[in-house]
Amino acid sequence: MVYLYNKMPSEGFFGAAFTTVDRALNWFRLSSVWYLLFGLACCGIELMQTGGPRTDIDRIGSVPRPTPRQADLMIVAGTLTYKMASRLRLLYDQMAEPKYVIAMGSCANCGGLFQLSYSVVKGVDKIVPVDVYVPGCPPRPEALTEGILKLQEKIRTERFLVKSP
Amino acid sequence: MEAQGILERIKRIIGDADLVWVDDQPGDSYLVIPKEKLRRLAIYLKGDPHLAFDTLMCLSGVHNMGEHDEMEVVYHLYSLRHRHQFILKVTLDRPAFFPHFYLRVDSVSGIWPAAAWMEREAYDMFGIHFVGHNDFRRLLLPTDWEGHPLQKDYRESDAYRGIGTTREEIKGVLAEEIG
Repeated sequence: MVYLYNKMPSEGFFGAAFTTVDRALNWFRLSSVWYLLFGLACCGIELMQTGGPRTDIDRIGSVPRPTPRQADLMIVAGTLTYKMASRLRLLYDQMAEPKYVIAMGSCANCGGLFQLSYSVVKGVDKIVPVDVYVPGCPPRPEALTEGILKLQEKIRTERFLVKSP
Repeated sequence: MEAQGILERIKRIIGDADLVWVDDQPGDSYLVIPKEKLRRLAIYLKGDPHLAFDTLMCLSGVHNMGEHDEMEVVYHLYSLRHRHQFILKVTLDRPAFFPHFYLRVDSVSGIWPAAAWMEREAYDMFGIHFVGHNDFRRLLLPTDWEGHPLQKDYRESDAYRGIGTTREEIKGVLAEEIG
């Protein structure tokens, strides 16, 4: 901040100032990753456990949202069928930018146990872009917390106000 | 009433022509009836005070591709009043040409309302048409789905609404193992 007051407004001044705002914005964003409830199968139970008191992800700023308008993150927890795929895409499109997706569990990653079935999508990355894959069948709450921490690391490195680094 | 007594009563109602009683197979005994007699028999099975089959526990489809291609519809019946049960089967031929024309059987959803969803599911999975159903469409799969997946000769299409149905990684590596 000293740097900010001592110098005249020049390119360097603005560059330094923008970087700081970027970092601050990223800090705000990664500290409030609100996730959309998208429990499709048994992974949804572990998702509830992750939000519960034992592995409380509220302490790292993640709270569940029942509407895509208020959500930054979609945790796809469970088996996605072809019939549900269009609904998943619709809810993803309704989320406001910037938005992130965590594929939770084997079914969401690649189809998992049901990948030879006729009705199961072989991975949600065929429908929406996925940021973090969490393996497991189902993943323990610690694993999903790790996934959200990984996502926070990703948000921390993003340049939000500048087009190219 | 025991199964033999029920069988005797059924024979008295619709005659014993074309009825096949199977009791030498593992599992429960069952009666195979021609599909023309199904609706009439179903009305008697529910209405007869000595039988009083008021509950249709389960309606399932079966596809046998053995010596000749045929499908079965299995009716598990139960009487809450007399606490006895009975199993009916209807066999349908499935010729190579126009199979949907032959896979037709009378609906019993007017007699047992529980049959409505189970018949829709049987149609969804096996392509068996139930004539006389009020609201006959697919139950589980999307309406624009092609084919009936539990038919033994069902082939999965390459894509559904632009979504590929194959895992890219297993196309080359595991394709021989999985088949």
